[in-house]
Amino acid sequence: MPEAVSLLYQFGTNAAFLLLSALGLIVILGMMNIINLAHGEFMMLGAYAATASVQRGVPFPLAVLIAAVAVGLFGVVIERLIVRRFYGRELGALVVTWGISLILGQGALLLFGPFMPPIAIPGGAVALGDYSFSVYWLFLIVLCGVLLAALAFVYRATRFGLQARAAMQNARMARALGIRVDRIYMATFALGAALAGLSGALLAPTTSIAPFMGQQFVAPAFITVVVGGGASVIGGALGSSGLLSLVQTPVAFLFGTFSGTLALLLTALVVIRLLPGGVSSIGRYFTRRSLAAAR
Amino acid sequence: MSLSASGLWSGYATGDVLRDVTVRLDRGEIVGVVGRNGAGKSTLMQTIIGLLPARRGEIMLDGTALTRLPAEERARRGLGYVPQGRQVFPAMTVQENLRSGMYVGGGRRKLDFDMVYATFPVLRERARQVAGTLSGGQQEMLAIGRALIAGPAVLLLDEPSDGVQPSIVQEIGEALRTLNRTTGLSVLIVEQNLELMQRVAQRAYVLDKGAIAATLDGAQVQDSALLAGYLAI
Repeated sequence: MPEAVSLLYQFGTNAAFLLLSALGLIVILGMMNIINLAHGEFMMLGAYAATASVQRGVPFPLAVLIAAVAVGLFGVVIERLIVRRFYGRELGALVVTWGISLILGQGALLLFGPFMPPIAIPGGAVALGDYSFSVYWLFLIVLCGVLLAALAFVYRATRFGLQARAAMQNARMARALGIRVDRIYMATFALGAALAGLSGALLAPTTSIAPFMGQQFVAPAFITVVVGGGASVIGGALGSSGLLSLVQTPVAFLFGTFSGTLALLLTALVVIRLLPGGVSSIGRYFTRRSLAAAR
Repeated sequence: MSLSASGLWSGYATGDVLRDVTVRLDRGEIVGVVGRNGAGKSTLMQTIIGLLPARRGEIMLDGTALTRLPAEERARRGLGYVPQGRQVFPAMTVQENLRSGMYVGGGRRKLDFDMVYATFPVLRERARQVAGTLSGGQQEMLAIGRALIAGPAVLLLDEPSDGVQPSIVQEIGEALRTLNRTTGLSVLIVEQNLELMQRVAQRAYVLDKGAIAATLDGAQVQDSALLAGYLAI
């Protein structure tokens, strides 16, 4: 029994890590078709903002919020000054965000040096049998669910969400209906950046905080996004992180962390080969079939 | 509400398509624009809504110049645009598509779902269906409903009969006439379907090679031979 719970816990933490890594990237890619290669550095900025706040005596939860808001505002500046000039030019956006990532990484190194003091993991541990579970990771798992639900709510049930989806599906038509697509893009980029900052701050206690720490999140983030696919941004993220950790967890449990990561990569390869549209295209396939049957 | 475009020049990278075009639409009028393929009809509509910039000339709505405003601000000032090919948002439901028209005319008015559903009852039945799965005719009705729901000053209709089955073309024609009679809706309609043009238009402009070749009054619009002649040149 404790083994099963432990496995479930491992599954949850792996999925939560993938989701938190990918969240900001997914919003920007899914809604604007911009591949933000500075995503990892946005997460790094979030971790730095949180750490700097905690060092000044700010309580950790508040520091996380500060980090999200600060990186969100930073996202607005980057979008206004640079990224908006590359809308509709995916390769241009790719290169320019890569450039931003280099500047941010090197800038952090110059300004803050190679290391930041770590933040202690908040909360203690709960024990079950021989196993102990981090309260903080349990909290992160729950928080992932809350974040996804909140995102789904924003995109399904708010005016902003309606406009963002209209702009995503046909920006020209959206403009002809009076939707200020320019502002929607700015807000979306800010939201993606804020989510990256939030995730970076939340994961800061679990990792070492350094200028190039963002890179450890970028690969899992991209894998999660690609395996998720574009048919449903939020559903894809959920399905993809769930599926990937479903494979990663038992393999890591039996053969070690390295094998787990390898299994994750292999799963991603297989999924992309079999389902080029990602996990979320399964839903679309079934919708089509039921529609065809209804006719 | 009166909309006017005067001395309009517009086009693409390859050159001018519209050359010195002047059209006018007064309050409560339904005015047609006819012409062959490539005459510049859709270019005219895209220039009026602002998806294409006017190179010369002026577009006025009730004495306010729209010429320098981007499309989204023109829509907010009251232009309801229904493009050729409909361009509904395919992955959104019928209801969400209708709601996406909330800013046409400024977005302060309450959205009139009842009016749209009364005009096109099939949209009520399909309210929760994804728009991409509708037939061409249903999508056309949806695109019109989307442009109407917030109460535009003027409706710009670009080839509503294109790829739509005849019975629905008729239904759309009736709906336009009814709305025009009951609410005083003003419509500028581009159309190649003579039947629909004759059913709704109170007068019309003939566009040929990007210029106004003739202006037709109500009696001339009803003269099928004359109208067909202009389209067949």
